[in-house]
Amino acid sequence: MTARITRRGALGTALALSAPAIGSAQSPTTITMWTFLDPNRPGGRETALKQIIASFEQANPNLRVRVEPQVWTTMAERFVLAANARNAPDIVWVNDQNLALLAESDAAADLKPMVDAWPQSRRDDQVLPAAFRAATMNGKLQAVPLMATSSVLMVRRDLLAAAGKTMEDLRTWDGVVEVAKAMTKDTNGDGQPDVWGIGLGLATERFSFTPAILAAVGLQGGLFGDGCRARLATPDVARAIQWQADLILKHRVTPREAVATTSDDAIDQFAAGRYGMQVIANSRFEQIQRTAAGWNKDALTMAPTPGWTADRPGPQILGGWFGVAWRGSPRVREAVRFIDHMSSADSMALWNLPGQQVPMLKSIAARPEMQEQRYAHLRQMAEFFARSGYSMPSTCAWSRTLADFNLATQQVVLGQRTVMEALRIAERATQDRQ
Amino acid sequence: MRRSERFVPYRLLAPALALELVLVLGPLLVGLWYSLHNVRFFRVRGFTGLENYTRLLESEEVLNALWVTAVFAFFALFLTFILGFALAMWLERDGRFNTAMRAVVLVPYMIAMLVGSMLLKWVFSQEGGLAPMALGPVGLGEVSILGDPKLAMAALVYNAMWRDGAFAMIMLLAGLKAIPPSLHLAARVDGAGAWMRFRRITLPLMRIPILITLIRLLVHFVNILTFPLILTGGGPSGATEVVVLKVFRLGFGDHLLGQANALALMVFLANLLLVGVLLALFRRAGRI
Repeated sequence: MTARITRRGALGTALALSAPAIGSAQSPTTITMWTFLDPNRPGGRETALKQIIASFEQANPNLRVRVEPQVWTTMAERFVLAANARNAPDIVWVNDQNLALLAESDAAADLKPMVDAWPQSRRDDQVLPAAFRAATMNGKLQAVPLMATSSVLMVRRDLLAAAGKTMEDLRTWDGVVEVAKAMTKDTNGDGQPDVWGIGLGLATERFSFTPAILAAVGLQGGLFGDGCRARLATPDVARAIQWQADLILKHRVTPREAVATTSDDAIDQFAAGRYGMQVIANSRFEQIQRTAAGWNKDALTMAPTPGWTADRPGPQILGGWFGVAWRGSPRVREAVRFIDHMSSADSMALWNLPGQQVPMLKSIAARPEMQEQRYAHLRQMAEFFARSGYSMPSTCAWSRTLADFNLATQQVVLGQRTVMEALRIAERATQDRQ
Repeated sequence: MRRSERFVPYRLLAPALALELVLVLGPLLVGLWYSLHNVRFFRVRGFTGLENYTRLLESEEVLNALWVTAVFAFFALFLTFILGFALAMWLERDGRFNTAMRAVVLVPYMIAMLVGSMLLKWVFSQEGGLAPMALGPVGLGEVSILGDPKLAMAALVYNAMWRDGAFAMIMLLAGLKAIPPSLHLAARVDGAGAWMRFRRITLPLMRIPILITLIRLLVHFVNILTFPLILTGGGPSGATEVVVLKVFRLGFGDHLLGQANALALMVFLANLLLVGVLLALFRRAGRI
């Protein structure tokens, strides 16, 4: 009797102890990730993400990744708020503009131990070690780079040829104006241009890099002084803003409505064939080709940031998307494991192709398929990075400085302020955020 | 009344009051606390007293946002109310045509605010929109509605009228339907004309629906975010940056949550003040 009770007790204890294991075998742990990509939608990056998740789940049968697509413009802020409310996703993607916000919020897990555990060969394989340095703040690695992007001058080669110009003419900002003038055309004779030389998104909502910022950084070498002191009300920045405003006011190569156009709307207009050139993040190359309407997608090409003189190219501002693990997540180890997987050589190969992203590893860049003509734009981008790559200071809050530039341009175009008055306002606004 | 019965109303009210405390008073107090602190990047840095408030009142941008809100709310309220009243009067009688027209007028109100504003953005856009197609033949093809400060404000007011005219119509139609037809018939027999009947019968009996509609619209317009955020983005050059959009940008663009909460509280007090003024005006006129 006693023996039977003991046996039953032992069996019961064994079952009770094994219950969590049985449970976990039956219901895998789910990692939640916020990103702007929806793996169920068409597109190179979306396809790459889908394949990366599939390979991770195959290698880790007890783990599942659930993607909750988000609007990219507010994703970082929403993550920080959710982390404060202890309700954040396990992983979030943050762009370079929000690294300062991330560091200040202290919501990110330290990914340095993960990177320290990499073999030396993997560390040496990185194309942009500067991106790791930019993400290292307050003594910890806040995020790991997944995609490198930079704003480039996207150009339609067909319009360029029709205007009798070449890529060489786009080496300087003055050259850009001349090309834009030659590209601006009224094709249906209604007195209004149907194709504008250069598109701009100058709204203060959903904004991105514009030529004025690149031109200003090129002239001045940066927008911040020591201790993140904003340096915007300067003759160099004024020259850049005036140059941008003149595209509308003087040269009439950009529609006036640019003052109310968001970056996304301007990109849509570019894809619809309304502009000959536009400063756009290189990561949009595949999307623009996919959505090109009324023109041959193969005519799309990229030019490096123009300079003020032909012998000195403008800055290629490095940016991109980073993977972040939430520090307070109960699944932080699993989250870090997936970030590790997303930045592995296999995944980086997928981000490269079919993702159409610039190779982040030297070994990926050296692959034979990367030498094919159809991937020339990716090789080109890597060259731009190497030649004139520039990082905005990650410890300074500069993401809305882009909107400050846009507001200054709007005020000048509308004749409400002089350039210097507008820049003083922009400088104060940027300074207040530090 | 027995002693236990005396507390029944309070007991019945208690759940609703508790909900109010949690959902209204709680966030208000948290907002007030934030507004007295330096909150940057969503982290509290220290007590600053009334500094957030003084900085806001000294800010040119905030003063501009308050002015823009006042202009927008005035024109939107006036024109939406007039449109809603006119539609309600026009479509008051039941009939096939009027029923069909009421459904048509309601369409913008049934569409989500965001979708409606996106639709209008496409209509007003100079780049491939419908407005330039209409303006082109009269020599105004170069006019950029969204790129001009005054026209952008007009577009924003139009957005409000287009959507909320239907809401005003429903509210006022309900009031009109509640007026006994016999009053109008009797007035007609006495020789009263349409204007006289409107002034002496319709308007006095509509005072409560009018008040409710005005208060509801006023609060809605003073606190509007979706229309300017989607249609104009607050631009150009802050011409349509209403105060709630400024709150949103201070909080989630500039990450200055202390100032954002201070401005939100100021807007809340302004709302109370406006509703109070409206009620007082109606009382003074002997309308309620």
